[in-house]
Amino acid sequence: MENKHILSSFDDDLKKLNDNLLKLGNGALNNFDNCINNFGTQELDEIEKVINGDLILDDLDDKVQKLGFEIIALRAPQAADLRRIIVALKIATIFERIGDYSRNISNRTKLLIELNYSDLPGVNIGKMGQKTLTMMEDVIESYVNEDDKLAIKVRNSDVKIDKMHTQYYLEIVASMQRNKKLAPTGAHLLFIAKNIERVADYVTDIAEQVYFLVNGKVLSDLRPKADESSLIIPE
Amino acid sequence: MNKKIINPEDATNIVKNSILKRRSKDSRLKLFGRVAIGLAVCFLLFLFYSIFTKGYPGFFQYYVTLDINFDRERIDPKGDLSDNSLFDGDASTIVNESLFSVVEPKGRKEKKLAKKIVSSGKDVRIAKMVKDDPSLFGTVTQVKFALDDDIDSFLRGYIKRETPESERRINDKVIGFIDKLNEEGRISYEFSDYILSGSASGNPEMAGIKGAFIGSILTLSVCLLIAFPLGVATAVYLEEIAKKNRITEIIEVNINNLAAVPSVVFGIMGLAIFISIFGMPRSIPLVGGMVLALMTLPTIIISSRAAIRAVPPSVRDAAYGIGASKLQVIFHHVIPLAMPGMLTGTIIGMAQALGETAPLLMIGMVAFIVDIPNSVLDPGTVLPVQIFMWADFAERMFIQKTSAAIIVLLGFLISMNALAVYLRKKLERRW
Amino acid sequence: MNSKKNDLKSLELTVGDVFSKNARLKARNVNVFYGENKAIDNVTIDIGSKEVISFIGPSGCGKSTFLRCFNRMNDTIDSCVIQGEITIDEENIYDKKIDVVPLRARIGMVFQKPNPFPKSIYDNVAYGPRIHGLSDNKEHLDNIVEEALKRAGLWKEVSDRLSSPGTGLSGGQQQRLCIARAIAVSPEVILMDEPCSALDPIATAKIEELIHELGNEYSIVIVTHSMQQAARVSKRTAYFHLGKLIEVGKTKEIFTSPKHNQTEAYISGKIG
Repeated sequence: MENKHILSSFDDDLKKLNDNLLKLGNGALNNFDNCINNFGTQELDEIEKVINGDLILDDLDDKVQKLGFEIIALRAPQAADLRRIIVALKIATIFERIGDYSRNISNRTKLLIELNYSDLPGVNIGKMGQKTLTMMEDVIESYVNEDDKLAIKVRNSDVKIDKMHTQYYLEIVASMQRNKKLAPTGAHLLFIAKNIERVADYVTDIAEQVYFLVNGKVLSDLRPKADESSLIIPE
Repeated sequence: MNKKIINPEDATNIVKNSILKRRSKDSRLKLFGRVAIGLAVCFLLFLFYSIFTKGYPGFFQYYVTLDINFDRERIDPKGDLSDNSLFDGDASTIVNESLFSVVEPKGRKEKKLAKKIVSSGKDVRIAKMVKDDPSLFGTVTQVKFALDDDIDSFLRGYIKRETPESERRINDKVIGFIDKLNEEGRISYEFSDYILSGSASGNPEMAGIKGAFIGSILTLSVCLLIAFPLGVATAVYLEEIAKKNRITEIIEVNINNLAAVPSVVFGIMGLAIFISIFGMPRSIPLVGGMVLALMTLPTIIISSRAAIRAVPPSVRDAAYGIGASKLQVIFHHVIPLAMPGMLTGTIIGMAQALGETAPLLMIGMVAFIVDIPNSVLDPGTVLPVQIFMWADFAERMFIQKTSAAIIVLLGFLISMNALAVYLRKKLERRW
Repeated sequence: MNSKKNDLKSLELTVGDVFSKNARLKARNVNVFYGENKAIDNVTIDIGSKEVISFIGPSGCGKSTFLRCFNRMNDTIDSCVIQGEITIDEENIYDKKIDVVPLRARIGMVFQKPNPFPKSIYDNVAYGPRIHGLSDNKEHLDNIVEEALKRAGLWKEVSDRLSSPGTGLSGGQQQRLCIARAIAVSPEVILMDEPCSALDPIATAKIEELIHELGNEYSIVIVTHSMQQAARVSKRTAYFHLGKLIEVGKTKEIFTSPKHNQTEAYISGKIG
């Protein structure tokens, strides 16, 4: 937004939209960070905070949706302005969804604590979470700086998360086969791993939106995918 | 046969086929226009040519140079240079003697003929010379005198030597005198000093237009001073102040009709009102100007109204919108913007007035007035009336004088129009 | 919610908030006739202090006519008759005692076509203060002119050529000059009758920005054919149709979820 609009109030509106979006993004990032942390530390108070914090994200999303709606109605944005608003509306929804996943992971973490959970062999949710978190940080940075190269990098690193997920899937199923008592824990862990993988997918979507924002073109080539958990039957 | 819209290709063909016909119509129209303009220009050129070729000699006349002995005793018997003294003097005789010494007439009859060669204004001329320069007294100086109009016509070739003596206006004797003067190189053809500075005179060689010119200026000044403020005020009232209703409509129609009324009618009206009822004197430029003002008023009102109507409403809106009162809107905005148009109308009206004869005949400005008017209350005449009168006179020389006067009138008109153009440009340049 | 089902014939009252808490101008049951023609039909609306409100509606809906009621510009039209009451700060402007000259100094107007006087830039702005005697001396007048031009965002562009003709400026600059001319007499309300319809988009944007800024100091009523312009500059919007005021409301609401189906149809380009 180097070039200012002649109508300063248009810039004000855009800034308001952007500020709220970044607040939402950082909130979602924060929640995700906390829920991954809590998975390791297992502190119930902190977990509750994440679960309750999701409401704030929902509100922020509503706000962004309303602002974007109004800007489209009142300002008839064109070109980069139009892309910015459409992208903002899409990204906001994604951040809100990421928030939902954080809450879901937190809920499951709560249950795992009750189940007296301890790490299964070959599974490291924390590591997967951290990697996804890094991707998310990068994608927000790419949005702020309108850095499409960073966005593509984020998009490409999704493969690692996919591979991790496939691997964890197999390990968890194997553990569950070995010890039937681990079935409830394993089921939740499967969901948690899946949720993180979904968050990573969403981050990839954001990266594509950033690319569209900067270039005005949709990234058309097929995204590299490596999640085979839906394609293989564990032995 | 259900005709529908023609398809594009057919339409293109039809248009192509008809284009030649249309083009030729266009070019025919252009040709007609050019021919019309060409004809108009030809007529105009012919008019100017004929006026200038006829009028140009009118500015010149023949003079005879005589040696005059400025004897104070005889010219100015009282020696005080007063009009009375000069009138009592015997300047004519001195001039005649000088003439006789050249042409040597024999006997009383011949002398009488010879006297007529020099125009009758000779004594006035001498009187004027000594008044201007008393040091001439006691000297013998060569002085030029206008020749009589018949001699002038003879020298110009209008009166021919071959014509039998009985049918000529001048006889063989006089021709002999002229030949003598010519031999001595005493006759010259020079710019006339009567045409521009003289006034009406029965002697064509001494007649000039100064009186009529001044009369025209005085009459037009009166006309302008009355008609312009009155016309503009009327136009402003009708356009800006009066409500549009029956009465204003009737006034409007009548003003338009007045513009088409023959000018002589205004003359009759002037005669009836100004002279009969108000008892104003006849023949004075004041009455003439008033009559012409009546005549030009409709023209000025109509053109001023058009000019006011041409002032964009947006300017009025702007002024009203900011809180200007009606008077302020009119005086600050409408009149300044309409002024060029108003002036154009006024000048057209004035030009009309300048060329007008008929109404002035009615109020007696056709009188034979020798004195040049000093004020609007002195009797006078105007250029077109002067032209009208001269054109009526029998003497051959008046034909040239008439044409010369027409040239002066045209010059007056052109300079008035030039002034109008200049004023309009200057006022319009206020962006 | 019922109002959605109202059609024009059954409409008795305007939909939305016609009243304003700190109203500067109040129109009550205003009817305007051009001869036999009813141009404005029973319109009631408040115009708040320091508020930008726009009047929108299809051509001939009476929005300009109604705007011109506020500074009695309709007085110049002989056949125009106005009924009802319009007050400015509780003073009826159609009262017989009210003189239109000071009224028009309080309620300035900017017209559709930029109409600077054929005078210098300085004289254009100084004209109002001069005729109303608002300045004590030349210096004061200079200050007024400078301030007005600054507020109109024109000072930087013309400060070095105040004596050159106002008509020599570009269209957008001329319109800003007209706004400066209106501001110079310190009005409380500025009426704008389609101020950008003769301007290009950039000049339009500059005027809109100016309106946006001036909205902090004056009440501004703007009539516009461009719905987008109404959306961009005004806080409130009033929709007129066939001389009736159909709906008034916050611009955001009018443009995102109008309550009356006529407004909806107009906004979304289904009538007009």
